[in-house]
Amino acid sequence: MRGSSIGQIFLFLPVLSVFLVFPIDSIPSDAVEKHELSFHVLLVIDVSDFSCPSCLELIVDFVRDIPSSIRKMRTAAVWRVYSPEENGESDLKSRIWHKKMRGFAAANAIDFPIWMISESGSEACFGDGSRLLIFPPRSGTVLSFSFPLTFEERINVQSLFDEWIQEGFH
Amino acid sequence: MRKKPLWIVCGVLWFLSLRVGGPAFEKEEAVPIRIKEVLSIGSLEDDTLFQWVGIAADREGFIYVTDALDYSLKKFDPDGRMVGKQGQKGQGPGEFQAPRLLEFHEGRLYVTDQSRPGIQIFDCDLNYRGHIPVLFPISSFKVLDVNRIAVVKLEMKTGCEIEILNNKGEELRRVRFQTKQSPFLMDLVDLAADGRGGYFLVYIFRDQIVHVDETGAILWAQSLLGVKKVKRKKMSEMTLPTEVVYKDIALDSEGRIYVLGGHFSKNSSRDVYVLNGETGRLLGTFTLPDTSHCIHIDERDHLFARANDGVTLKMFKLLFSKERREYVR
Repeated sequence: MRGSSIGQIFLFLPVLSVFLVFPIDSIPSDAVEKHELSFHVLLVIDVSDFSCPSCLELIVDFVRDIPSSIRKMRTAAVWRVYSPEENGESDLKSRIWHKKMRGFAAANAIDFPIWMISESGSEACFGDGSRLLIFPPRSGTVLSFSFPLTFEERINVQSLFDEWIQEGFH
Repeated sequence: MRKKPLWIVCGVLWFLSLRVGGPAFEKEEAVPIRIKEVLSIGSLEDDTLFQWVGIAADREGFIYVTDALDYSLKKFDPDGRMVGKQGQKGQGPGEFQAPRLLEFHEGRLYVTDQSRPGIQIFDCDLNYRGHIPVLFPISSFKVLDVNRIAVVKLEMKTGCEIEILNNKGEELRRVRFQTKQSPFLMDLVDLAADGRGGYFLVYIFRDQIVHVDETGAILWAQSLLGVKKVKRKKMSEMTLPTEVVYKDIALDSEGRIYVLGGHFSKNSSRDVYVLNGETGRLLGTFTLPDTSHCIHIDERDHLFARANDGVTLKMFKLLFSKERREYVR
C-alpha cells in the first residue's frame, strides 16, 4: 500500500480546520461534533466526478463496503470544489454545489459528515482527483489512494478495517 | 508586379472578413430571434432538482425530467409544481443508476440509463411499464412510433449509423450515414427525426450538421463555426476528443433546427443556431442566459434549457421579430 510521511498529517490537519466551511445539512450537527478530529478514513470527492456517473459510482461502492461501525464513527468526507471567482459568482457556485452534495448524500443514505472546501485551500494536500486517505490509529503515516482503487488496494484496505474491528477500534 | 503582394494581402483580408464574427448568415432569410423566460423550476434552496439531465414535455404542458443526482424521474405541472417523483438507486424495474436521456411519445416516457443497458418505459403518472432490452450503450435516441425507435450507438467501431429497433429491442434496419471510419467518438452524433423518414444529425466533435434521408444519403450538410480540428487527449488506452463543437439539436413545429454550440461558440454552451430545415441555411442565433448541456423544444415551441449547473430548469418562449409570431403557452 502506498503511504506518505507523517509530515503530511501536520500539513493536512490545520488546513482542514481552516477550510471546512460548509457542513452538509443532512448530517446532524451533534454527529459532526462527535467526529471532530476523531475520524480515520477521509474521502476526498472531487467535483469533476459529479459529471461522471461511473466515477461517482466507484466511490459510492467503496463507501458501501466500509464496515458500518467504521463508516458511522470514523469516516468523513470532503467535497472539493474549484476555487471561487472574484466576480461575485463564488457564492452562487458554493450554493449550487452545496445543494448538489445535499441531494447526493440523501439519495445515497450517506451517514457520515461531509464538508465542502475550495480547491485553493486543499490542492497542496489532496492532489488531483478523488482520493481516499486513511489515518491508521497509533500510526505516524497517512495512506493515500486514488480512485478508482485497484482490486489489490481494496483488499488491503478491507483487511485494515477488519484489523481495526478485531482490535476494538471502531 | 510590385502591386501583387498588396492584392494578395487584400484578398486574404477579404477572405478573413467572411470568417470573423461567427457564422455567416443568409441575409435574405435572417430572422431576428429572441427568447423570453416564462417558467423557472428549481431554486438553490429547494430540493426540487439536483442535476437534471433529460427532459420531455407532453401536449398538456406537463414537464418530465431525469435527475442524475437523486436517481429519479420527476413530473411537473405546467406551472412548475412537482406533481410526481419516481425511482431510486438500484438495478430493479423503475430504478436507476445514472438516469439520462428521456423521450415522450403517445403517453409513454422512455428513459435511458448511462450505467444500465436498455430503455425503461413509464406512463404519464411515472408508473413503470416495461423495458426495452438494448445491449449496447445509447448515445442518442428518438421514438418514431410505438414500435420503432431510432438509436445511435456509443460504440468503438460503429459510430456512423442509426439502428431502428422495435419495441422488443430487435433490429429492424440500419441507416448508415457515413462510410469512412473515424477515430473513436469522432462520428458521435445527436439526432432529430424530420418526420418524413429522414434525420437531422449534429456531430458532437465535428463542425458538421447534416440532413439525411431514410437511406442515409446526405440531403444537405452545413458547417457553422469553421472548426477544422478538436483537441484530443490520450486517456488510458484510448485517445478521446476533449472539445465539443455542438451539444444538442432540437426541432420546432415549423421544421426549424436549433443547434446548441459547445466550446467553439462565442458564448460556450449558450449560443443557439437556428437553421432552415429544408436547406440548412442559418436563419439566426440567440444566446441562452446560462450554460446548458442540452436544449429541448416542446410541441408548443417552448424551449427548455439548463441553468445553475442543472439545479434549475428554464422554459423560454421563442420570439421571431420579423415574422411577428407569438407562441401562446
